[in-house]
Amino acid sequence: MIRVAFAVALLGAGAACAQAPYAVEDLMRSLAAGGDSTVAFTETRHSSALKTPLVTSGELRFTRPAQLERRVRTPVEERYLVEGDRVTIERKGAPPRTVSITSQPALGAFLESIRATLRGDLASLKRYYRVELEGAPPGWTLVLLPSDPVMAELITVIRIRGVGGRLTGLEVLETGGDRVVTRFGEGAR
Amino acid sequence: MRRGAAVGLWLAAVIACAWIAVRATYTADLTAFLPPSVTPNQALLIAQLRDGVAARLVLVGLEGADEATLAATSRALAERLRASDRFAYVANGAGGLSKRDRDALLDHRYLLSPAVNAEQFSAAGLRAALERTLELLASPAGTLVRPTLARDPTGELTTLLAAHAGRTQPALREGVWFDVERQRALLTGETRAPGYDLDAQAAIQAEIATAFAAARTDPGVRLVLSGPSVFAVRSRDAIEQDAWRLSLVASIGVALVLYAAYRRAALVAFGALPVATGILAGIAAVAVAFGAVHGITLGFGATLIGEAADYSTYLFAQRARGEALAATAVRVWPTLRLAVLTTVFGSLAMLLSSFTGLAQLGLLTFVGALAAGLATRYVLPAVVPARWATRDAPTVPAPAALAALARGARKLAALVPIALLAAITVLTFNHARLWENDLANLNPIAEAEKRRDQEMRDALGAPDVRHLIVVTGATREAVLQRLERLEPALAQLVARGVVRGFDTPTRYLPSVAAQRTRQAALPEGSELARRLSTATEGLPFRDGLFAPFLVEVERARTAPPLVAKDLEGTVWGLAARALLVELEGHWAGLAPLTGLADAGALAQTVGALRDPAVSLLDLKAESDAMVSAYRNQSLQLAGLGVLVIGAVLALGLRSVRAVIVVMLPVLAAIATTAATLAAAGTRLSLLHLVALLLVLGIGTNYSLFFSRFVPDDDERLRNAYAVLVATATTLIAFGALATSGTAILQAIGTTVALGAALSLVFAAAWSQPR
Repeated sequence: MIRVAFAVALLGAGAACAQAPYAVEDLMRSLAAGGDSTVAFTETRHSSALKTPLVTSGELRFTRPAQLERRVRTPVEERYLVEGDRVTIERKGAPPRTVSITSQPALGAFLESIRATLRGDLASLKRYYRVELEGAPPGWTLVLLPSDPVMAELITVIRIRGVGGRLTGLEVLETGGDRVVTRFGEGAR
Repeated sequence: MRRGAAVGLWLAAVIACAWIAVRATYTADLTAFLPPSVTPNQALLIAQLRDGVAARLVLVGLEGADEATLAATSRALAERLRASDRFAYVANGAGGLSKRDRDALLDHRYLLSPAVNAEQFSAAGLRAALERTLELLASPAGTLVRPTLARDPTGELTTLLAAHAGRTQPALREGVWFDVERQRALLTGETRAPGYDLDAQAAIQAEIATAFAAARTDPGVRLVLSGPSVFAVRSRDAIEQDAWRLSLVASIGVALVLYAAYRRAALVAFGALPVATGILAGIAAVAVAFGAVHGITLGFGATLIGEAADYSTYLFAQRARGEALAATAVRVWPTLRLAVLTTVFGSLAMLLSSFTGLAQLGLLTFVGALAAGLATRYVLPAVVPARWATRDAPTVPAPAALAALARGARKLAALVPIALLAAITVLTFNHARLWENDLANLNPIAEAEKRRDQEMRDALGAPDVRHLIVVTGATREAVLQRLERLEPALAQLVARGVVRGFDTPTRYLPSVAAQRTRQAALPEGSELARRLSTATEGLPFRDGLFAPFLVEVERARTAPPLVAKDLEGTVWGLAARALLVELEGHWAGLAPLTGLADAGALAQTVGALRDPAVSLLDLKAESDAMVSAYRNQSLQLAGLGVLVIGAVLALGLRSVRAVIVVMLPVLAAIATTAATLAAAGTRLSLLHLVALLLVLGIGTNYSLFFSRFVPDDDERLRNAYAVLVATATTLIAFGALATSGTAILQAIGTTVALGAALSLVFAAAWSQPR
């Protein structure tokens, strides 16, 4: 009897594992099904170099299939536009500058981590990161571990949090110990 | 007994020569063949050809697949090539600077950066820089700025890097350099081996191909190599391949003709003995006199000594029935001796040349012809078994036809002066475009390949290897300072669109004076600390964060100025080394220009500086000038050679009229050959000149033998027959070369074959019936 009960219990546990509720592919599919979005963001850098955290805010606009715009309102106006392989940077008092994501992974891949997540593009993520998923649809965390050596020198891990097909937060842990935490507002349209 | 002595002496000499030849140094260094530098610019050109960056640059293109595949291949290939120690650097646009380069720049940033000045280090200047850095820290670039924040809060490294990124850069796709228009991923590599070391360059190119085969994932991807060293290896291979193949064809043809004439295979083999002896002796002489034998000397020298291949023909084919070879040798010797001596003394003129290449060629011919002549006279009769010589003496085939031919030829006697005059007229009319000065046109490189090289160069923004601004000075420092003063003028040229860009060594190694000025702009330690505390007021930086910055500025302020050695092994160091050349005790700095649009405006700007230390160097114009100087001296020496030959003939023949009879036909043949080539649109080069010198040698011999005194009709026939056989072998050997696809071989082949044929006809026309 006990044996049978044990076997049933084992089977049950096996079934629970096999059910593995949420795979990265599933998340990517649901993200890929989403539409264009604009969200407000607040980004905070916690650093041992600073007496007080550095706060930036603005909005993030994603236009399908693959355009991401990061517009900073405070403290200084600034605009990053990611299109294809190119990132165009516009800041006050300087001519616009364009860099290539693949040639400047440290700069570009961070933006690519957001863009690729928003469009559910696992292949692009995997170009720079080892991708792991924690949690379930109501509250998931995408864990990105840099595989590119240049990036790995700078970034320990990126965690992207979300609910369903929506991003709620993002955290970058730098190798130097700095933590950059971004919260996405509810203003999604 | 005397026979044995001759053979013994010959054997000893051959062994000694072989020993020297085997141990001799052979060089393929093209620059060794160039003239002793006359002007500083030419010295620079030679330095550039020998060891310049341009000569060591290999351009690599990948094509035949989509961007992502090509980019992945480019990355994998670059990684493999970087792992090889054959390259000083390999660049494909990915990854930017290596860690080592970045560290070197970071360490020396305050001495290297042109942006360092007193204003920047005032409290206000520091404040502005810190605010900018804070903004960056709050952006996605923050991750990049953060690691060096404490050391470099003013972002000097970023400024330094941005100044370099501002230069013309190739387009990037998928993170690597691309020629977008042609869907071609681009890489460049600078080899450690100098460009002229073709063996090393060939090995490097093979290594690239191997690395490519391992790196490519898609079989559709194709590898394209370009650059001066690639072309040089390719043309050498083409020449070698053609030379081997055609030599084989020619050897078989010549052997068949000689076999038909002698009816003995062994005699054909013995016939090669004098010329082989001559080449060996010539090589040994050059090795002893010059220390090293150049590959080109060898090639041209073997061509010139080609005349000696006829010596044995004159001996074997002249043999009468039942005559001992030794007797034939005695009989023919007066004429053969003159044939040998005209060549020997004719080459004496070249021996006196100030150009190492020509002098080597002269010595090789001088010694080679002499040795071949002596071997024909004294060794051949001694070593050829008497029974072969006495039995089966060669019979002249179709004697009646040959006699008729000779009579017919004499009716053309008037043709010789007419042809000479006509040829001189044609050459005079064409004199402006008679000569080829562009070395590139002798390269057996297809037009399509040259075009592709230009495409890749344009896409990479690589210097066009042609236009440089040269600044000279007594020391490296003097050159760097002059270049720094010149920079505004160069920037002006870019602004006006005269050139697209320029590079200068001061970017990589500023002058000591400039570094001292920068050091003077850095505040002393406590002063900087005071200004910094004013500047950071109200900013969120933690107190004491910038201690490393204070230390590093103080270190830079008091450091000894940066010298070339400090940058060794970095891209910066390489660039500085490539653009600063030491020339016999003084220095030259090179500023390569990219995308020259208006040569006139450039020359005017440089001229307006009125600075004798600054000059514009057009490598192509310099090389053209050098080639034409080379050729002019060759021409003068050849002219001198003709006079010497005339003098030798006058002594030997003891009659001015006889000298004219011998020399006019061959001079007419040479002039007619040159005129024919010119009329066909061929521009004459040094190669044609060497070929014509050979024609002079063999043509003189034809005339000598035709005009030689012969007692009877039988011997006259044998005499004509010997010349005919000699001509036939020359026509076969050089006719084969004329079919080559390689410009160099084709030029030599055509010229000699045409010249030999004309020499035969003209010499026969002026032959004396006695």
